Amino acid sequence: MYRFYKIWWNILRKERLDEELDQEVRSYLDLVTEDKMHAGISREEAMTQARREMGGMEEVKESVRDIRMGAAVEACLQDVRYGLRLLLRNPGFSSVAILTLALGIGSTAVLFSILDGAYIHFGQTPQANRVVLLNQRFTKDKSVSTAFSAPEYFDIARLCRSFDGVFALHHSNATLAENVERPESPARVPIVEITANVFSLYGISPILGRVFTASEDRPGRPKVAVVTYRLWNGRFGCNPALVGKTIKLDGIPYMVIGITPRRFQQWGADIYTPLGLDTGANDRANRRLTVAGVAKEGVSAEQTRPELEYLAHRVEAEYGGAYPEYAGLLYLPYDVRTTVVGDLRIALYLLLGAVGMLALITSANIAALLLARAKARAGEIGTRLALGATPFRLARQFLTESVLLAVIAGALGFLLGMWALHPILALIPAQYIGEEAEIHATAAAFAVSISVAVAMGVLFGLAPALFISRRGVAANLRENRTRSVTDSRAGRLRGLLVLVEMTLAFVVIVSAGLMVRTYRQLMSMYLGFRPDHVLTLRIALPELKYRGETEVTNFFSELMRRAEALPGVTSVAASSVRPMEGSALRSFSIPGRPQRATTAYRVITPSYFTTIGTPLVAGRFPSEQDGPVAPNVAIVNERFARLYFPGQPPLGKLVHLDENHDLHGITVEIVGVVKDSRQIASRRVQDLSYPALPEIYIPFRQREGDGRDMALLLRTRSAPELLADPVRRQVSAIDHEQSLYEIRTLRELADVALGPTRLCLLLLGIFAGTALITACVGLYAIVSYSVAQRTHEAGIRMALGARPADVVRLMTREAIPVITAGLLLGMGISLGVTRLMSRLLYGVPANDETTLICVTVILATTGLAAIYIPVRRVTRVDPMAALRSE
Amino acid sequence: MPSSRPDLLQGTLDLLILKAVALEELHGMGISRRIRQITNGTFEVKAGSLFPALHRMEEAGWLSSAWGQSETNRRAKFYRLTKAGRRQLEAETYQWERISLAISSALQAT
Repeated sequence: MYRFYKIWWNILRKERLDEELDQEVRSYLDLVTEDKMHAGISREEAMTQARREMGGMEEVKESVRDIRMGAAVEACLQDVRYGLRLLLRNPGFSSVAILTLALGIGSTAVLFSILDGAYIHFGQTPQANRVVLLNQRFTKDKSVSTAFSAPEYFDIARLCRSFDGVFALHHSNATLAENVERPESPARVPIVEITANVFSLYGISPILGRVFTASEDRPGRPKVAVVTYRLWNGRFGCNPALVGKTIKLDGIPYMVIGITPRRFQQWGADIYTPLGLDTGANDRANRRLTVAGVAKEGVSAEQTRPELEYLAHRVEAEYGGAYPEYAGLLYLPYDVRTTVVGDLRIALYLLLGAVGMLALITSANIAALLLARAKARAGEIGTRLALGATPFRLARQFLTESVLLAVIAGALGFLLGMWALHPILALIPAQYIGEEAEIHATAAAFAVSISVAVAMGVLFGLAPALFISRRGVAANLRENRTRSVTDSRAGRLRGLLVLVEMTLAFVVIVSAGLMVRTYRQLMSMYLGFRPDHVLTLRIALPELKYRGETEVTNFFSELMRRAEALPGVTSVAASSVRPMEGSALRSFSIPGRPQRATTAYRVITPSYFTTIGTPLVAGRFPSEQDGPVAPNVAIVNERFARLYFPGQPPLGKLVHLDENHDLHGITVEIVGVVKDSRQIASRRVQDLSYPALPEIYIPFRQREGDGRDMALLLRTRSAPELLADPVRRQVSAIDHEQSLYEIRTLRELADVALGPTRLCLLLLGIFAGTALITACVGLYAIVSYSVAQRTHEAGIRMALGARPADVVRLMTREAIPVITAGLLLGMGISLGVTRLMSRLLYGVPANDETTLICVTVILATTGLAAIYIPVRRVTRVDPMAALRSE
Repeated sequence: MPSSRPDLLQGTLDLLILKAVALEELHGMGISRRIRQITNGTFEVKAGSLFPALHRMEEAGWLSSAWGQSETNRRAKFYRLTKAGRRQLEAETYQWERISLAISSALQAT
């Protein structure tokens, strides 16, 4: 503490200290002079002797100042002041350098914030970061499913030792009304039925009230609900009186017993209710539960795999006879953070890599500029060395200057980044980032920006610092006088920098090129339906008001009649699940075969396929005649037909669909086969390459019971968004209390998979553009600098009769091999790097020749242009003028 | 002067300065004169070594300084030993004696 105080004291009181020092040294000199005069020497002679003995008065003072505490700090401040003056004197150079750096650092800050918020610090408790989602894979049809049955869950919960605990949940939606007597402004909210152990496993306690206990989590459970902070804040204005009140979910009264903390929003719920599993359940084919566990501390998701595999083998051995789908069963663990972030994580890592490369290119560029400037400052440096400055001191000054530049850029970049954070976040579809994630400017992001800046500053300050301090006084002084000196070391250093720039630019531009091609492939991909010009929205009819199937049918028939009459609407349909919305699964069996299987299940109105544009392959579409009294029919997709009726005509075959809760179900006859369509289950581009899920479609009028919560789809002639309000008016004309939710165009739903691609494309595009420009500017600057240095030489050669072509050859002899090597090296590295991003690519191989050739051509052309322009200027110059330029 | 051997000088110079101001407070010129006397002219401390050492030792808290009048009535800065400085002198004296004893016996050994 004292030392710190003293340092600042010394710096702040510098003037006074210097004055005292001056007086002290003068008085010493006088005393020595007097002493000598006593010995009988004349006054002048004594003074001369005294001065000679003392050495330089300034040197003495300087050596005292050097040992003062804080001398280093002060020298640093001096360097900073000097550096700032230099920066201000070259505003062009400074602003280019600072802006390019700021761009790189700003992007780092943004990407770091997103990665940190959405992935690294995703959960608010340590346990939340260890949640492992389980999938099961049925080897027979290679399908991977997150759906488990109750007995399967109990097996895992009872036997698995890699976890602190395992929990199960089931997603649903319900219409919420808080006033029991009179349902006011009902809203559709996501409900998660969940086992009671989840709260203690996540290590969270309610901020108000309590959570439900194991005794409330049984069949015939009490109707209790835990409300999340989001809903409590959004709908109930954080009113603490909510605890103990009764709310209604789909007309059924539930008592609110607690509120979860703010960032506990796991599994997308607004309300948690007890799952109430029956421990005696033994139907393994009724799979509707999501199962996840909290891994033991220090156990990664991957490390639970062996135990899960063993468990799956046991299940297969025990139940394989009754459930043939168990053949080759596997349980697969997924780190829940990767499933939430999906492709975004890879995209973010890719972008971080691109940012790193851009940073290196910028560093190389600025190093080259600083190097050129250091050469221009050779005279100053030579003089300072001659006057006794140590090379270390000079190197320190260069580093201070470059770090200063970088830190200014770092601060600016951080501000830019935080300003751009929200617009960039808007590019990422909400589904990619868990709602519990908090993404904002953090101290950590700032620390990252500044450390990146300092690291870059040191990196590009090092080249000139080393270069200068290695050269002697004489070389530096000579450099100042003659300009035709070709310095081979500086030449090699410049060549190396160009090589690095070309190589890195190549990699970044290739990555961007692959994203462009992927994006074009995704945009032109055949989805199995036509996503443009379709508006979709959901309507859920409360059970209280629409008790019977007739009321439900009447509502939707009336709504569809009114919607069809709206101007601009060409066709209207309703379905229980929209395309690209994930799937409702239903287990089924085929009469005459013992095993059960699972299929995606949709209830649709007759015009569904014509509205979304899915073509018929065989048989017929559902019709108005497929009503409650007509025979039960179904439409399946090609995948379903191929899987379950291989080599047989599927039309006329029967399928027995299980009911959700009891097992009566219905038997339907397949009357039509439609084309497969794409479904994106977990927001991964890769999923698009998987075969479609088997799907079955049931006419709405034969299953009105499943049609209380339906999606309306309207194909329009013009922009579909414009129809949202007219539809809303029609709905309230039928029932003014009825609400709509999730109004989206079908294109928006389809675009979810494009999210990371689009983000990558945009940011990589920016980076690639910057990399290309930066690399070319660097190349141009370096080449034109070395060419300009040899203007004199060119003049002599041309005066002696050299043709311009000879001069061009001479001048480019240095640059062309470097560019060629850069291109080759870049291509080699690209082949390695792009393999890492193959998971983000669709329809484009990672070593796509077209992209590689295009990038080579672009870079070679710009590189040659960067050489050609300065060289041409030299050959046009009058030899006499060139000679006189000395 | 041993300025070409700064490692040796550093320890020696500190010790000599401490010893020089142990009896009475002295100004810079007085210190250099005293050192010449007590070493019988072996060590001649020049301003270039003396002043940095004085300021360093003052910052270390071994010396304190004040402006005063020289014997010839000139304004000069006088240095005196502080308590910490006296302790340092003792410690360095002990250290030096050990080293010199060791070196002597090493040189006498056959």
